[in-house]
Amino acid sequence: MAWLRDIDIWFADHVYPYHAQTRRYAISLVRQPDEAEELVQEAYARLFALSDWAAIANPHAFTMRIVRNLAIERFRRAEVVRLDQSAILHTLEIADQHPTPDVVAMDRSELDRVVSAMREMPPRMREALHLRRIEGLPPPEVAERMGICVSTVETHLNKALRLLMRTLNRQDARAKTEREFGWETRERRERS
Amino acid sequence: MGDARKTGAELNERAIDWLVALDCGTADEQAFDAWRAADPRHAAAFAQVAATWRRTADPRLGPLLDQSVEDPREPEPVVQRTWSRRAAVGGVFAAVLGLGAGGTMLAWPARAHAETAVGERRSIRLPDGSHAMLNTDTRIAWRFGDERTVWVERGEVALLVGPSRQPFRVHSDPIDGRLSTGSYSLRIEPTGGRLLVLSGQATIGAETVRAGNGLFINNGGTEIATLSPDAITSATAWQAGKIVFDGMPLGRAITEFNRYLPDKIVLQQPDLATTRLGGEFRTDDPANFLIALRDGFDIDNRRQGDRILLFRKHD
Repeated sequence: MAWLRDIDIWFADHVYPYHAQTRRYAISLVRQPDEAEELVQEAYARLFALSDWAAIANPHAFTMRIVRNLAIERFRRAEVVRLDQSAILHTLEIADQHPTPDVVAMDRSELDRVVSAMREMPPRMREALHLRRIEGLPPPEVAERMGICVSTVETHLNKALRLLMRTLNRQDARAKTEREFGWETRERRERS
Repeated sequence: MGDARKTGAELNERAIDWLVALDCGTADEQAFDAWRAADPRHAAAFAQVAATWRRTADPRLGPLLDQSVEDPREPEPVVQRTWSRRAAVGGVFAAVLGLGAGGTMLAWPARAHAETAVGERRSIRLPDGSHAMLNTDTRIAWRFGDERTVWVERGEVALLVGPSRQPFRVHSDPIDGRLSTGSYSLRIEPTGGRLLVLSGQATIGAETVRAGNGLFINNGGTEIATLSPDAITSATAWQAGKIVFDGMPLGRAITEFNRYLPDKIVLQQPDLATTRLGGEFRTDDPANFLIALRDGFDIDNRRQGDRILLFRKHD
């Protein structure tokens, strides 16, 4: 998989496992889910513009700080600044002293979401994904097993991945706080 | 803002296209590198897709998905109806082999199970495109790898075996064998079992059972017999939700009907058991059967708790 770079693996290990949290954090800052999503995406893009990403001790906290800075930029540009928002920004501290663990495994609730998303897939799509990813068969073998051509396997996988990303993101947006981190608790205290 | 949002969704789709094409070896890697390098947002979108993709290969997923197979999913009425109708017009089972859409696909390589409750009937599309129809109170398991293997643990199942280079084996308590492309009906009974070969051929140990024949095992004795058209009709009527009695003694007919009924019919006078009867009834509705017994044989019925008692009318 020459096309998968070190930074992709680093991102998958250290940043993306916290995607839901990062999003909730962005929503808490800007309130609008769409705008929050933009912030998160912009923050991720900034990570990919870095040359020394490998040196970041706590990529998750680092990402959060980018999100926060981006939110501040937006508030400065905005004509009306809501008081509660600026209050949050001033009191928020992000603990980034502790490096994240080497690899953050997908937690059980996320795993369950992948399982239920796969369960709801149309049968052929699910079969293709299962053979390719869980059984680890190369695409030509998947095609042979299913009695279809490789390009159809590709179509199944493409649709499966779209469905998966859509489902997981939708669920992310709905999900309530499952793990509370210090900074989130602090934030809530400040707000109340 | 809306534009940025839209762009985000498009980027995500683009990234998915790239990743899957790369995975399937159909992508132009140089073009991909150029796309990724063009904008850090491209690289970020791709990394998110790659991270999600990686989740689908989590080693914990396989076992979890196997468990999900155990969930009784709703049966597929479309397949069932089509199949039933064809069965009803003369058992042209092989014609249904190509039936693709709508069946339950339970395509996990580990052993998967399906079962039916008393009175339930269910059609299942197996991973290779073969079909299994489960009669009442039936449980089967299957694993499809280098070989196609189906275990019939209890009850009765109709198997439509599709063509494949991989051998198709069926295992059950009394009958183990290898099935060619064709249509079969296997039933397990307390004292044995039977395998009807409607088309194709079955190899059971040293025996070959050809189309139109059945293998019957009863109390350890094995017999291969040619099936009459009537015997085939009555043995496969359940696939259309029917039960056919052609001169069957009442005692056996009741045993047969009770397979489908959560509340069992009980004969009060044992001497009635030898009364022979004919007729066709719906397995999901014993009322007509009971009416026929009352009107045609003067055998009345009374409900007592979860049982239906049969007794001679003028006693």
